[in-house]
Amino acid sequence: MSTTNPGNDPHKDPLDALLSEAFQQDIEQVGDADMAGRVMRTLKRRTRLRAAILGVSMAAGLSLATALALPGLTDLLRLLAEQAPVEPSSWGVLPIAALLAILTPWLFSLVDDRV
Amino acid sequence: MEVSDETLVQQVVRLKDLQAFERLVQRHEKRILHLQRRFIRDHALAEDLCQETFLRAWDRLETFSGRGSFAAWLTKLAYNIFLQHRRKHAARTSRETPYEEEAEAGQTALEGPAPNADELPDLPRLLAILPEADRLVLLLSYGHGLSIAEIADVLETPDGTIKSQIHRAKDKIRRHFSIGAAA
Repeated sequence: MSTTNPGNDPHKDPLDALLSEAFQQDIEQVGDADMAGRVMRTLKRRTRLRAAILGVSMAAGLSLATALALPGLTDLLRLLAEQAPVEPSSWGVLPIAALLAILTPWLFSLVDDRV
Repeated sequence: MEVSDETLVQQVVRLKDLQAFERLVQRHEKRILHLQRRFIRDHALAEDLCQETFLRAWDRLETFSGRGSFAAWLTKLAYNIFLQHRRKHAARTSRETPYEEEAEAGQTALEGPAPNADELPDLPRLLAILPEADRLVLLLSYGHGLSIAEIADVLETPDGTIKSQIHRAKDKIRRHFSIGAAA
């Protein structure tokens, strides 16, 4: 079975030539909608928006993670420096903070997909 | 020598080259806008769907395998975007095809005197006698230059069906307008 385009061989059939010409003229009549300009402007705007969302979400996520981890890290440093007493309860937030730091890019990607 | 679509696609995928993508948009914008306007009467909406086609193309360009032409891949994307829009707004878009309008106008024209054999009918008159599905297949074949296999892929229809649709549509036009067959 042929998979070629009959419109590519206008000499074969007068109707092929007629249809090709008529459709080409019809397409050419489409006015200039500056589609390239619109698409490129939207793409650039979207890129800037994504960068802004990435920046804000990374900063927020890492700040929160740092704030949560700070007491635990301080205790850890004091323990290492043998300046006890140490409150083990403050260490509990360390895994949560680590998890938050790890999950921040993933949370961003959720938002990013909707931009 | 003009750079091929496929080379530009590679540049976009590898380097995220915006200029290469802009050239692709410039090459295909008229064709895709024409297609969306054929589906949807509202020009502003057709332009939005055309823009959406190119934005989605940017996002999914790495899925273009290069087995068929880029034009066919983009046409399929445009057609799927139109179908999604129609599903979302089924009640509103069901009567939005300009083909139908042109068909009605053409039908009125056909009620007049039969065309002179030397006088070639214009496109709306040619298409007026055809069902919607046949018009779309002719548009993709003669307007967009897609092969039968590519049209079959866009419309998710067997090759044989497309081939017989084209044959049937041409036969109908030829008989109706007394246009000579192939030598």
